[in-house]
Amino acid sequence: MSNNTYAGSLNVQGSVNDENALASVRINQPDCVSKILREFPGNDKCSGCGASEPDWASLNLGILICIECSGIHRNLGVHISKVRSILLDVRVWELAYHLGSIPHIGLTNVDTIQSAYKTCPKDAFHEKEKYILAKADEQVNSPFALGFQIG
Amino acid sequence: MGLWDALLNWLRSLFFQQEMELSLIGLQNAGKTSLVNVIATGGYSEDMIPTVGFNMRKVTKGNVTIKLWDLGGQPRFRSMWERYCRAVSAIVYVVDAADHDNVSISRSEIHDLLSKPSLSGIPLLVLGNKIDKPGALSKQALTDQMDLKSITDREVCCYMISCKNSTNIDSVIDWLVKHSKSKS
Repeated sequence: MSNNTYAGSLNVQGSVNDENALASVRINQPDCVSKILREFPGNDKCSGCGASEPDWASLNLGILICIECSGIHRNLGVHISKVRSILLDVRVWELAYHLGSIPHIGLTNVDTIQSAYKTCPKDAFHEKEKYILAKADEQVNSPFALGFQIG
Repeated sequence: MGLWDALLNWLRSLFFQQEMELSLIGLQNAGKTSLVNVIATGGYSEDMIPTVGFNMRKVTKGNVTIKLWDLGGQPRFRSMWERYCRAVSAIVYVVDAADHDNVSISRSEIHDLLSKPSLSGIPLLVLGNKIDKPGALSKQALTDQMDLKSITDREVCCYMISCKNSTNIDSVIDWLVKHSKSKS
């Protein structure tokens, strides 16, 4: 319940600033989705390992991740992290845009950025996995985790 | 001697070797690539990443060589499913049985695909994967929710599997091998 009220207030702020800029952009073009998402502070790096230009996102955790970390997130199961590509999944982003949830994806990264880069892109898979498991637990309980249900 | 054996094997393979081509489709994160790995090597790997585009793999089981097209599940790739499903011996459709929200999308995608005239009559094997996860659908529930009963123009079979624990993988391989024989 508290999550919903939080989302509502951020919604209004986000849409005032971005509506004009975004309205002219066609959201169903994957390049645009990634461009819009990456403009939010903290979104230039994978929230799992800090790799640059992350192409994947966890919808319910509200973070951008690289393809390797997306593998780990998918392994957790959809009840913990719902992973979608920002280049290859199309409809989910149209819907997310209309819900006004795109700004939150950036905010979550900012929120956790201080504690973020404990792993780096070169680390072994299981190192990243350990870290992401611990972090997903923290993120599920964060106020930025919207838990919105999108197919 | 080695050469002679090789020649004999080759001759034998001409008569007994059978080939089949399969396409493996389903929504993203259903476990298609994991299934290929389990069938090919018997091993389940935790460190998987999403398939971008497709993988092709040849697997030999007994005297049947199976050519597997493992296609990406994201919406961008779904339009190419039909192209890779033409003239295959069977279509294998993998569903994440623990992902309740996406079963309805899964249903509409497969019914869309099967309505294509180029794919008429090709047998369909539906696999409900991830039954090791808590809350996974039962076979009956999956059959109902996927509306498999309404597909009457082809052979349809459904198994519940777990790539992680190798549950029911042998039945899947049996089914596949049988269908290569009935074709040739």
